[in-house]
Amino acid sequence: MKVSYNWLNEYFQGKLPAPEKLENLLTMYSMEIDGIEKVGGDFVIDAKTTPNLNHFCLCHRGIAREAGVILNLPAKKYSRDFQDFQISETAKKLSVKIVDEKLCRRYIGRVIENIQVGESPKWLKEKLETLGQRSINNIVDATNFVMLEIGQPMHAFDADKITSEIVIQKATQGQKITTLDKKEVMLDESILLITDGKNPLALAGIKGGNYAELDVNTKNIILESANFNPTLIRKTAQKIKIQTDASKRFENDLTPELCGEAMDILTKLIVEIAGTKETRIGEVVDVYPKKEIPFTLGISAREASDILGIEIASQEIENIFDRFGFTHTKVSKSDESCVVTVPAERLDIRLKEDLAEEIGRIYGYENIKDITISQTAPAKIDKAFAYKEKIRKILDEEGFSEVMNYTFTDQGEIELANPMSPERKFLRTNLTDGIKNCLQFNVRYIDFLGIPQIKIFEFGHVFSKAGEYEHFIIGIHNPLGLKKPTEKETLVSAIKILSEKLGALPVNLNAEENIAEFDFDTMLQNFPDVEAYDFSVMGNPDIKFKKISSYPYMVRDIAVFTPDGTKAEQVLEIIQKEAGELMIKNRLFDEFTKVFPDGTKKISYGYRIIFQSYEKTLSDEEVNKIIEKITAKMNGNPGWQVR
Amino acid sequence: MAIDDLNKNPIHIHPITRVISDINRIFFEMGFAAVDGPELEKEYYNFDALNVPHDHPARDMQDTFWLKGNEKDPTLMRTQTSAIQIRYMEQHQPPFRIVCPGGVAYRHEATDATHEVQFHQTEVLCVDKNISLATLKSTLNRFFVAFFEKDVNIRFRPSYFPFVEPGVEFDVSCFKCNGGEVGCPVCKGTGWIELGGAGMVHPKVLNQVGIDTNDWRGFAFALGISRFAMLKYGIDDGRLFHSGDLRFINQF
Repeated sequence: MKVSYNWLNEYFQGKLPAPEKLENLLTMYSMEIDGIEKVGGDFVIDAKTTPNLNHFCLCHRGIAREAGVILNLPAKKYSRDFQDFQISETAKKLSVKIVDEKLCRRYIGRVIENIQVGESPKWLKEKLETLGQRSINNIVDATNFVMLEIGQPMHAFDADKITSEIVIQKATQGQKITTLDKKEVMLDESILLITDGKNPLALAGIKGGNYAELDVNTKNIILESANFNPTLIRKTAQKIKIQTDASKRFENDLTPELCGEAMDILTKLIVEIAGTKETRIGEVVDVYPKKEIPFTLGISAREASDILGIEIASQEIENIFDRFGFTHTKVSKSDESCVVTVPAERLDIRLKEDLAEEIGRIYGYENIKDITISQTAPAKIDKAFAYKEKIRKILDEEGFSEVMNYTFTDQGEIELANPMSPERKFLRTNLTDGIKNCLQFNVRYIDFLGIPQIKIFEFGHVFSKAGEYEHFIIGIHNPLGLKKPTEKETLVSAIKILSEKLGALPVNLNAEENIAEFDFDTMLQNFPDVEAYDFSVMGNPDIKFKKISSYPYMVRDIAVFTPDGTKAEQVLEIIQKEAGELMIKNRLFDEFTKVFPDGTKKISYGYRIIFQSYEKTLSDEEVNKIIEKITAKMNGNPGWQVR
Repeated sequence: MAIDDLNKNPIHIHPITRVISDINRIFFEMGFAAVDGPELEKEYYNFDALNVPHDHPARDMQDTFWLKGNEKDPTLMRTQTSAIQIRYMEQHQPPFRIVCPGGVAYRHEATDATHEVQFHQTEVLCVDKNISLATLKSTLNRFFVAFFEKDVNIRFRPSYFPFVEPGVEFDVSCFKCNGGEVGCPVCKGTGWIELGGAGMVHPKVLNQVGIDTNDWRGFAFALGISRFAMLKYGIDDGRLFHSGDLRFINQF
């Protein structure tokens, strides 16, 4: 909900703190603020109101009241003053009929005659435009003003286009309505309409139709202030795929109590900005079958303090209730219990926990001190978790890497009704397909990775018609040319190590010789129970991520004879110095000592160097130049000879 | 730039796994037992029992993957590990403390560097006597101090999750700059990192599983593990976790 700072400030005669300060207060004591933007001489605050607040905060008054409670500054009833009006006995009488009072909980209609449709005054246009709304005409703008002011969606029909009465009833199958934006909507019996007994005038609570649309010649209007069942509005809006400012408010559930004052201020505003000397205002027709009774609940200072974990005196609580405009009375003098009646729009407050939240946030969550939970007996060990950790540790030590693949795939037995894409519309039935892709993907980076084989494993859920299972998989891939060990040998050896350390492994579900997939639950059954988790830390936990360059890398080998006693680090030092930032990895792949015919003993070091840039594709020439520099530097050392 | 020394035979641990292990260790030491549940979940456990009724706007807070052909018994990919709460509470009597250190959950949303359709979540639930927002705050505090190995603070902001009341979002003071350093890459200079949602278990949720709210209260919270791993290791794109790319995984 976007709100105007200036508009909010009108509730306080300009006494609100600066926009950033207000944003901060709302964030800490009321609601999340998504952003604040300067628009002309105003600021638009984007309030991310949640469903509990949406009963009363999808309007300026709701948010102004929240600000008022936080600041302990009473907000005026409305942002502006309205002029009173006289009812005219001669205005046309309206008849309103609600067919199903569960779906339409209240309907107030009023005829106003002899108004002048025209442009809105500047102040109103500005208000709407600041919030990104288009000014249509003074009548429509007035209905939007009321909605933005107090949250009640309103509607206006051209009275002369309607035969006799207003009937709120379900549509019939095959019926159609054309909306104000000229969209034709097919109707059915689930959709509630505002009709004149014959013609559909509006999709109740969602959007008006063009049948009784206002135009420049409109003289007489019917105003609607109504309340509709939130579930019905939500379902209909989803079904016909039309979401509007009105439907959003109704689906969040508004109190029908709001309809009366909304009709009152709308009438006043229309008289002010569209009235003529001949304007006649009809009496309202208010069909309100089940009047809402004020909601009352109880809470004691003890209960509030227990939920919040901080002692709050009943006086403090009463003070907070006063700020919210909750009426409250003590049950008895000795008791700290309070009976609280909440304003009609506070449909979010139904339990003492709801009241505790209001007390807590205004008292200030920052005042809550830590209270440590009591010590308990040691927690039970989860066998599955413990063994997953054990298996990881064993395989990590064997040079395996853990991968995590996506559940959604292009084939399977269980299908999603609403996939993100056709390639991801099934749930995987195995881990093998994902692992195969991973092996293929990574083998091309084998030099970069500096490992002889691709060795990976995964734990993950798989899904079939029979149910959901957790699987465990190991996969090996040899690069071209690697003869020993074979993929099969590495796999067999890994399985052997696992079964020696943990227990026998079940049947391999995969027939391929480089992949072994197991049902993890079956696997666990063969393993003994565990007494404790192994919390030992492996590897280096303090690593910072380095971005992966999207440019290709290049591989060069350099081998050098060095005098006896030379350390590998000395060789690496030269390489590092000459190669600079473009060398991203290196590996000592070869080292041997040779005695030459003249009796000198030399050590040969062979380094594999990986070059890569973050900015461009490296050329052969560039890399060769670096190698030449390294070679020259090495050969310049007495007794060194690049091979 | 540091150069990988591939001569050592390094051990590579997936950052998500590392975070999950840490979480389990820290909560185990506070008496929380590890549990998990199915990823394919009944609508009842994921929504209804958690006080997220049908056709309620609260459903919009979590875009859901639904299964085809299960209209009579709607089934979905769990949108939150909170579904575990109900499954556990149906089978156990309070007091209890549980943690799902790393459950996979799914949301039907467009992916980018910080949003994934598939992600890991930690769920924590404690039902006991004398549970309050103060014990929740202290538990979060103990966890984060242990996790970041820094003396961090917790801050609550009012929020709404249908299965808790009161409901809060919690921020942790920045473990990197210790509070509001201009240009801090972790907290963007605000001094705080938004890390998750929490609250007192809603009485309707407890009543649903037959726990008497006159005797027991609970707190619950959820943590996004990817966000943790991204913060801790300086990872700029959460999609890397599921990339299967060893150029990424073998950095750790």
